[in-house]
Amino acid sequence: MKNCSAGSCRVPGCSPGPCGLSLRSGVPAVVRMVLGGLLVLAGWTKLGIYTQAGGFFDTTAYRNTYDAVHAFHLGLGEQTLQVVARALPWTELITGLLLIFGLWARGAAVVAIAMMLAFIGGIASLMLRGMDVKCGCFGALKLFCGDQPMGWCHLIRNTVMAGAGLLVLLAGPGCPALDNCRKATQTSRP
Amino acid sequence: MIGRALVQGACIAAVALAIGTVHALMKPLRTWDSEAPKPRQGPVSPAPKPSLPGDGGAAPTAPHAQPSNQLSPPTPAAPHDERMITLARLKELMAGALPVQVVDAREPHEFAQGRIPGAINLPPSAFSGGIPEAVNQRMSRDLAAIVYCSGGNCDASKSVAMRLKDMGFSQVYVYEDGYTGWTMAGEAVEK
Repeated sequence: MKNCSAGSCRVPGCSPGPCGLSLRSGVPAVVRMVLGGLLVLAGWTKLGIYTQAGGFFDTTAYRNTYDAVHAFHLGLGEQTLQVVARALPWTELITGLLLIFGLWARGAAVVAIAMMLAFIGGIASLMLRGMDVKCGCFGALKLFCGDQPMGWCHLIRNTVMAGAGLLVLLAGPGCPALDNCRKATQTSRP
Repeated sequence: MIGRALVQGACIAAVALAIGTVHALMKPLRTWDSEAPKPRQGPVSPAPKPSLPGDGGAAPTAPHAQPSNQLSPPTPAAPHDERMITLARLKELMAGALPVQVVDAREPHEFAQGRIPGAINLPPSAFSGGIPEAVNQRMSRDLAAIVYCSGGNCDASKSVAMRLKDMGFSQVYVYEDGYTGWTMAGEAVEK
């Protein structure tokens, strides 16, 4: 008999456990994976991890992200802008991956919520200042809000994504999720 | 539960920030401002070296010596040929013997309302999918490219100028007064 308790996913034969088809575990899992997928997509395109034209870590993608951050006119210095333009997509990518796999899902949800709130604040400030700035959100993909300058559509989209993060934070990762491995206390036959 | 999530979130953010910082330091982005040529040193700029007794015969290097047979307008000693140009300089280049490529970095709807005659529309967003077709089909990397946007505090021209430099354009200028400066000076516009 094998004891599948804390950290048991590392033990051969132990798994995150069976997932029942229930709203309580299924809905947070689906929401978490969709949110994670969107964040991975956003991070991937901003980093330009691989493009046919630019190879690995495409400079054009980096410049797009730099321009997008710069467009907020936050008064950041050159070095800080470059670090933000690099750290932001990495944050999205790591957070998205953690959400997809359900590892540290609540922590990742906190980061996702914080990012969305920061974006909402930034977009609102642009709208208040009457500035027309294109969104660098998903690189060339222009998901959901097309090519229009940042405005209500982007605010609503980010609010929905923040809401999704809040659901994961409150309801937990759902099932399946790697987080469940540490909670599982099950036995399995060798 | 929330406390633990906050700690996890802080760890995730710290790791991402560390990776981002290392990445930014390893592969810094060349920007228009960081690429700005340093002020040229004139003949008297270098600090005078105290002369030692008995070394009067040493021939100093001549930092300001330039070949006199240069044909192109930019000075050969400048480390980069991109720079901010005024309306007078723009008109001078446009009237010169060599053709120049004027690039309008504003958005297409602004471009449609009026532009400097002969300008090509290339907003920063046109580069998001790689090299725009207009660059390959209508521009030459061997000719000077002059980029402008609205004028004032607009950043699009500098962004596009750097993208053109990334793509191999060697002579890239930014017209600093932009379209506003052009129209304010009463110059002809194309619609």
